[in-house]
Amino acid sequence: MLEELAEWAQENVHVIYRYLVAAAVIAASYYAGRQLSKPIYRARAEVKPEVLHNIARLVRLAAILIGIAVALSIIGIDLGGLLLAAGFTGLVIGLAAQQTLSNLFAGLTLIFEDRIRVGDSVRIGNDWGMVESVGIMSTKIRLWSGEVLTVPNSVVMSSPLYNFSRSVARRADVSVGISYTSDIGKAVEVIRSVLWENELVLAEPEPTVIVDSLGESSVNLKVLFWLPAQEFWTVRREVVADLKRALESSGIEIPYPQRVVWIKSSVTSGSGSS
Amino acid sequence: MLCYTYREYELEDSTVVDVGGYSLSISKLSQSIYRLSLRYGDAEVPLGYLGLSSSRSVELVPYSPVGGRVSVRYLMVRFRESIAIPPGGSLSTVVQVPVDIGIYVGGTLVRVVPTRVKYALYGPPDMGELCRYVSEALVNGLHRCLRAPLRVSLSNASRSTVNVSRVVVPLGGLGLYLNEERAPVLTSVRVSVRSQTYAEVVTELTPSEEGGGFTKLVVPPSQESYAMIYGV
Repeated sequence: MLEELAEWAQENVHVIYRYLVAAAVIAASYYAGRQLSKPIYRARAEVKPEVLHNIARLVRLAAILIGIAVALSIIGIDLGGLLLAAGFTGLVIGLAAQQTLSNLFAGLTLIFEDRIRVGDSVRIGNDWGMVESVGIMSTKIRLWSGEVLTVPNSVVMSSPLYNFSRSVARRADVSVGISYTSDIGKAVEVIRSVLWENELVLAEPEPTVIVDSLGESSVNLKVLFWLPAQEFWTVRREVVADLKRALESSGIEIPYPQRVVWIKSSVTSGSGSS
Repeated sequence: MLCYTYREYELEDSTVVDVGGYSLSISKLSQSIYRLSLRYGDAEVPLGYLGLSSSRSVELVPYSPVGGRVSVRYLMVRFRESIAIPPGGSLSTVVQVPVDIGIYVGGTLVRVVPTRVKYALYGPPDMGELCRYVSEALVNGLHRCLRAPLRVSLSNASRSTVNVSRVVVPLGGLGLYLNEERAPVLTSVRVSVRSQTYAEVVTELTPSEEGGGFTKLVVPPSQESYAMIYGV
């Protein structure tokens, strides 16, 4: 048995040698891929971390694929035929994996177009949260309620995307209803004073107070003012509370919904009474 | 001396310093921890805590405006009326800017307390800059010790008349001197207007007030520039 094995080995020594070399090439390409991607992972470039991460992964993958191609040619497999077959296979796979490829290209677009970054506060469709990672296939959003939502990149691309971290300032719109008996001019003055007193309400763009509509039970004013994006919710809340306090202390009524009901008392009286 | 409150204070259990109507309170909480708060009118703003390991005294000095609650790098000066400058013309104007209060311990700045703060956005919300804001309405009624003159020299390098209503100044370049009255004086600013939508702003090393008699350089000036690309 051993003699047969030795004889076979002697006859096929070149084949065994080629296979060993091919294996060594694949191992070397794997090692080279790791070594090439390491400095990319650690690089301190002015690009997003997820871009570096994905470039490093692509470099490692490319090195391994080159290694496999060289290894195949060493063991005598015709790469031309293989590539032709791969072309057909790619076509079939492309049709079958349309969704996957769509996610992949959407991911690359997202990363290189710089639409969202890790840490950005975003709204995708009806989901609000903070971006945890932007991968090649999907994007992870940590919702404000704590859950992690994984959104396929093609969905991210096709959905309306609001990125709240890109603006240094945001406009707050607050509606205030005052009673019909209140002085509109005085109310506007009080509102302007509250906005001026709050240091985080931006002086420019200047706050705007408009008489928006005549409602069923109130004259509706719309108050538009700009805030630093990072303090938006905190200051908006403060301002709404301050507006209520200031209007009340100035004698301007913020009315409850009211309805005037007329009751027709009798036919003989000839007229209705309230 | 006008601004005699800018000096060194030995800390007691409760030290209250009145600077131009603003009361800075430093209260001892434990052996080395002090609580800071600022009171003006009816409002009291907590300013956090101060840890003093060995020193028991602090020095209060005016400080050129800083960000406050929002981190900003620029100061937007809004003129009361826009200033028309003919082609090739130049002029200079002095505006008043609120200064903050610097707290030094052993010669080291440990805290800057902003006094009258307001912010503004220069440019679009996504690409513009948040700035500390100054206007006449903001400075009205502010004690001289809490405001400093800022000389703005404007020149029109364009071929048409420009109307300048605002200037954006890099805060990092503004230096601050104390004059003979220990009142703060900022270093000056030069603005070269190239068009109605573009101007270059450079901070200078010279004080905004004429003459000498400056007793102390609190914040050293540096030449920094800013390109106003969203209009003047």
